[in-house]
Amino acid sequence: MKRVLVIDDAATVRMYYRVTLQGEGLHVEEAVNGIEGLEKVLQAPFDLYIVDVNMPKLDGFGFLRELRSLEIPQAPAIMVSTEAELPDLAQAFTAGANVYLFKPVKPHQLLTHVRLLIGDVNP
Amino acid sequence: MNALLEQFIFESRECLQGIGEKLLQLEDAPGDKDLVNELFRLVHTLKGNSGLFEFPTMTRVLHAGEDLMDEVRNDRVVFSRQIADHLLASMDFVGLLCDEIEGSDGQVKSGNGNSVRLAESLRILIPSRDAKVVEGGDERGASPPPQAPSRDADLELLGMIPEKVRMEAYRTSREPGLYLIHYRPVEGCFYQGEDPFHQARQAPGLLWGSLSPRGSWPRLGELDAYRCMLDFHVLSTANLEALEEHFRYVLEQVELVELPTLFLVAPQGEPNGGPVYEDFVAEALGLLETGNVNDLAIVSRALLELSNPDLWLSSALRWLLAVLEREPENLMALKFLVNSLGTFQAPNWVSITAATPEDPLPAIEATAHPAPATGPVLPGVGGIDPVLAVTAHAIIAIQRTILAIQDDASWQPGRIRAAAGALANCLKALGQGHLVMEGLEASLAAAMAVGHGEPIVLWLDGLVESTTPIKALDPPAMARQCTASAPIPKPPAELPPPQLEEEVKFARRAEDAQTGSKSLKVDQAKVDRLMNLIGEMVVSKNALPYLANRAESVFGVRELSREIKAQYSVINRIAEEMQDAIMQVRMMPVSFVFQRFPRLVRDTSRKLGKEVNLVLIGEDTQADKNIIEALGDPLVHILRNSLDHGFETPDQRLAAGKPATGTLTLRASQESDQVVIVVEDDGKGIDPGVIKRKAYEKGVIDEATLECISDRDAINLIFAPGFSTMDVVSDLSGRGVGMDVVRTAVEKVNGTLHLDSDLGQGTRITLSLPLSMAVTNVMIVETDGQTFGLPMQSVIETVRVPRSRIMGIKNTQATVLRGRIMALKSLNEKLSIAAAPIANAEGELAILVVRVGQEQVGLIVDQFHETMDVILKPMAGVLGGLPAYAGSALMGDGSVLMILNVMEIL
Amino acid sequence: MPIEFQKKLAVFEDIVGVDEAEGLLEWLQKKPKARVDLAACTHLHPANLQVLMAANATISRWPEDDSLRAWLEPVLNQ
Repeated sequence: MKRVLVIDDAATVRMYYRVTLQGEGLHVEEAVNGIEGLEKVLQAPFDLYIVDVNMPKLDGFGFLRELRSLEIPQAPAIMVSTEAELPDLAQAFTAGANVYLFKPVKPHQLLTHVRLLIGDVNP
Repeated sequence: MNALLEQFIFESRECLQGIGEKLLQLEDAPGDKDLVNELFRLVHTLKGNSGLFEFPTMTRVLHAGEDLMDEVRNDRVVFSRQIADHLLASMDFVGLLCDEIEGSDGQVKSGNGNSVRLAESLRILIPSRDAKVVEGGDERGASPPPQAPSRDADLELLGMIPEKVRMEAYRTSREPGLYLIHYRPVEGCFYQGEDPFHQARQAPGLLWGSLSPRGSWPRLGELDAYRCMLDFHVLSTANLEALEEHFRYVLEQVELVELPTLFLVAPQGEPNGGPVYEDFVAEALGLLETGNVNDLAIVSRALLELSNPDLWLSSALRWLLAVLEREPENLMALKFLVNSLGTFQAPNWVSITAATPEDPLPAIEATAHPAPATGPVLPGVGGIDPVLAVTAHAIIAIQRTILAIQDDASWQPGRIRAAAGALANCLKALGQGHLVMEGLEASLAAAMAVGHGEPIVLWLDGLVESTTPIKALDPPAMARQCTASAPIPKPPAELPPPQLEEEVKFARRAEDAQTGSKSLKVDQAKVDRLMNLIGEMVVSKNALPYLANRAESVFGVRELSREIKAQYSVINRIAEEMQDAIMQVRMMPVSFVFQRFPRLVRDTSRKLGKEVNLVLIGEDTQADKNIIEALGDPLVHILRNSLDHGFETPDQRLAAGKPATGTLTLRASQESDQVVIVVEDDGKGIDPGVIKRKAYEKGVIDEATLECISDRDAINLIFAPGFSTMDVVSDLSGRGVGMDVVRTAVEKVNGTLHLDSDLGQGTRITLSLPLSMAVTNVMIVETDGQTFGLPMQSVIETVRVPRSRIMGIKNTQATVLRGRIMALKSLNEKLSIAAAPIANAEGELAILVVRVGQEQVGLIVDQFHETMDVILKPMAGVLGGLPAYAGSALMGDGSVLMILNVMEIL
Repeated sequence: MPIEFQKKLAVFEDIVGVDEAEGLLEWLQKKPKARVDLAACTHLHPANLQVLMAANATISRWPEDDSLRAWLEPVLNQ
């Protein structure tokens, strides 16, 4: 079963991702900030990351930069935020995000991106 | 409040809006199948969302509504006005709940009583069914089995439970009944991540469980392991609430059968062997007749000790003793048990209990919702879902950009690998997986070697050129379609348009189609900010010609001056386009205002006992957001007036030879730079005579005017302040607020209001508003050293008049301009500036001829300056109360220009 | 691994999830005479159960977990 790591400091948002993705048969784990996220990654890498931007202790950018520095299999990351300002986009992609979505992410949008990035779609 | 909740509230309100509209439409066309289905879908969606957030108060009502709509769409119930009323009331309630949720940040405290009442009022409209057995499990909707046999089947099922378990349950259960749970999961439940076996095993109060296949198993080669073909049965001592809570997500697939504990009582065992104690039976029956249960217990115990425990007899005796222990008063049960000792047949409690009215079979607690839809099904085109394909291309484009980033980030290798991975997966999704092997892997290896992503970028670009089916799309177009990423820092070079775009238009999911075209939900503050910036730009650019002139005249640099002017025209063109663009953003269709009227007309006309048909024309007509918003209240006033005073009752209408149902027409159209709204009714019109008299009574006009005023002008007296033909304050027309307020509101946005009426035929009100409030052309004037602006639409011309030609008549000044007398006013005086107007060197005064209503007035100022476009911003706060000023505008040099309101000043 | 496939025996351990069903199905198709050891199994996703039932698989050992055994014994063979 493919594994997804969801990092967001809001419980409702994490729940939303979890419920939506579990319905796809994915195994979902949660972290409340970048530090916790890294801890989880070090235990076992994931097949996809969904990362919020604004989090205490270590934010999304910080998490991504650390993640990309690790010598582990690198999986795609979706960065999610409420900001729509250009500088954040560049920062996100530079830090290592592969897709940038704006909250609130509709289920259909989430699922389409997840399916494409996690490699579940069979042509 | 978190964004998810906000989204929920927003979507819920949109749903409610749609539901309201559809309900009203359906009233006029009750047979319209499409409307019914759409209505059902909206309610269903809303219910689903509310369930996600656990607002049972809301869900309860929506659920009832959904069930009711389900009955309607399956032709089991005919749509009626009554249904519409109840549904509207329920949706209003849901709307209130949304407000409460929004206001209290996600909590719903009150409303349960109303919720239950409304839900009941809806359910009552659903005809009850006899066998209220669920349709769960078999999605093809097999007819519900009749009650009796299924209870027999349940008995059989019970019989499978080992006696020990049943005995224990019977002995210990304090409830009058137990629940037998039949859980028949839908075939696709595995795909939704459900494990029904686990669900069943975890059921509260589980005493016993079993599972059974729904049919015979296919051969292994044909087996679809992921299609659920199992039913689960559980016996539980838990109460209904606990069970409904446990199975809450799959409740419609679950049948909860309440069984009296008595049903557990079933002797089992080897019937042969052992004596047949007919004597015992006789004796036991005798004891029962006299109610001597104690003795019965004694003799039963004695016999049991003597018998082989595996015998049917022993089992029956054990049960006899158990019943004697738990419910010795249940003589009927005892009697049948005793009899069974002789017959070797377990008592059939179903028929027994059905026969005895004192112990009726409890109703089956089953809920009947439609089976939940399985996950979203995306239509495919050529095997690949177009939405997926389009998104895949977008993601590919982004990865290219990421790979093209040239920096010296220490994490670059990881970033490249991740991007390559994303690329690979997208390519596979597009059916181009072979490319991964054929090129991506090699270029990735190369990229790792050199330490940056260029090899992969080159490879991707090479792909595009060689016209393979993959054509990377330009990101902004993708962004609009997917509302995913916004424009990214380094967009790829010009690339051919996607061939899949066509297909996307056709094969959208129904939901997407319903929510409308590709659009962004944008915060109003952002739009306003943009508008301000553009406004400033428009104004700032104006400085350039001036600078160009200075360059030439003061600094003598003609070449530079020319270049500045040339650049200015470029900037000017762009600024004008930007201005136009932002005004387009602010343009909204009038339907925004119109959409609440059908409901308003319906409710109000009903209340007044009138029959009125509302016709809306030209709802797509667009105007600036501010104008649209300003229209709302005036129109409501006008409509209410019309309903209240304009339309006659059906009887009156018929007597006058008109159709009983009146027609109220609301027409919007665009004429040059104005939006024209016409409200027309075929009511009784305005009686000039009545108006004249009322006006006279209220002292609005004097006797002389009363005599000679024309009918036309009399009608327009309606707009006089303090005028109202209704002495009694009617709550509908709102506190006797007259039409003067309406006119003021319209004029505040530079609009005009016009009234026409024919007695007995009807009334027509015409509102004329500027299309856009954004940019105003003003003339700048100076007086007493201060500059002011006047809107050019009021300015007719500028003249210079020598003092000698200015005459004083009574207290005012006037002059003759082209053979007509024109009154003159000094701006200084109007603004309470003490100074006198200054003449120029030739002794001429600068006079601005302005239009005030129908007349022309000359405004004396010191000096004219240029005209320019400004963004007129209304004054805010305390200053907003100053009637003399229409607003202010920001100048290129940062100063503020006060714009005068001509009408007010003069 | 939740299912350990030996030569002629599939050993179930702990929780056997939905992902295993496909593999189990293939294996049983190839080895119709194989047996299944459920002794260490604490739960299995019904997809796997369906495979076992459809294959009429022979169970070498029942689950030690009594509650699970009670569910399975009536529907599987030993």
